[in-house]
Amino acid sequence: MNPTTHRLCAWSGIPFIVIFGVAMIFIAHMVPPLPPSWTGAQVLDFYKAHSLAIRAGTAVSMMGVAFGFTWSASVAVWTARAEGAMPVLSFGQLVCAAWSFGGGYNAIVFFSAAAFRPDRPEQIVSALNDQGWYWIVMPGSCAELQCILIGLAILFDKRTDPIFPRWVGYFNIWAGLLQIPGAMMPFFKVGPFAWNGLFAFWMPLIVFSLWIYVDTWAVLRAIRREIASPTLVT
Amino acid sequence: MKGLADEASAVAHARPAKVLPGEEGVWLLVLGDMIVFGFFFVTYLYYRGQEAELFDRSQALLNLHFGVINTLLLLTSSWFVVMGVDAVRDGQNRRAKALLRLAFLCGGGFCAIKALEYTEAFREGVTLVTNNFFMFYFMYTGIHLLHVAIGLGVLLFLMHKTETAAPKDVRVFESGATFWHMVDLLWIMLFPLLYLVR
Repeated sequence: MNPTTHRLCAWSGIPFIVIFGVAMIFIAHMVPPLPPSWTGAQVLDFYKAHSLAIRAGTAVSMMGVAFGFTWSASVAVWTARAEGAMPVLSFGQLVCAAWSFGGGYNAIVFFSAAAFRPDRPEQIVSALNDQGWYWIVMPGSCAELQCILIGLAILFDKRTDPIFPRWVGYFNIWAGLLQIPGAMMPFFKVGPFAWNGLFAFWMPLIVFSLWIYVDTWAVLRAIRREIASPTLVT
Repeated sequence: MKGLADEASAVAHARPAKVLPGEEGVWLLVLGDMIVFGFFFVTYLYYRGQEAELFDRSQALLNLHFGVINTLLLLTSSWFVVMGVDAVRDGQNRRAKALLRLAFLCGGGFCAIKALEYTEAFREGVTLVTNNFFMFYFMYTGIHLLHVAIGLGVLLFLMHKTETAAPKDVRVFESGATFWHMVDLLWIMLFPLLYLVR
């Protein structure tokens, strides 16, 4: 094991949150989300007014999203250790990660494309905008399964001194359950389950961020313990 | 053999009275989920305050019988789970398995009734986009139903565990039972909120 590469990948969750968050909030002005109840004309006005800012913000946040993949790999490698020889939950987790973090990636592509030619008719710009928000909120189902698979891998660790603390397993299951309400966003244009609502956007966002911090801490702890008393054949 | 079982049971029962049942971790999950449902309830009451008349009219369309039967089913299942955990503690694993199976059947009955209730609503043209009351009704009961489904998975896992468990392994049963009781408790709070609060 190379402790440096492992630490770098575990820490890469933090640049994901910081770069993605700062770029989307402060550069692109996409948070709080554009209300799904807006008319095409309102959406077009927004993209016209912030055309350059949105393109700049999405270009920067693109760099942040990529770190979500290295971070997921670092969690998966350590849950794979917890699982043993045939780590199926960890493989499943990684495929889910491609879609949960990949959803953010696709959203950015659509926001950027909508801002690329704001001289287009309002129907086109608002359809691209819809696609972007769909990609932010709907892949919650993959984030949900990613969290739950991490949780199960941790809880099924039979070691007397497990790789991860067991409460982290329960925490991951809780975080996964909270990603569920987003899946129903296509039915609502206002209220707590719409894409800018409390239960479809804000709560999953807060829990998702908390989840990255907790799992980063748990992986760094596992690396530290492995260095202190190595059990791997190198 | 009987003596051994009695001894084991005496050891298991000799625990101090105020020990947290199950693992600490499962309580993190339970408390976390309760906080989220707390947010659900407050949000519901806020929206209800905005459109009290519409909420009352919509609530009157719900079939109270289904709600009451489901409450009884979950309460009964929790009772079976409690007896099942006790049976494990006493080393009576076959009895435990039978009790857990009864709890599972009650939970399955809950899901069947819910499916019937949803079908009836759809047939009357009521869906989750009808109005704000039915948005909350379908979303909250749907999210709760998902918890029931996960809880049924936990009960299946515990039934499987009775094959090998000894009285000292009772902790895993307590953890699973804690989750199931939470599912029950959430319904006990959802039921009056959606069906009864006027």
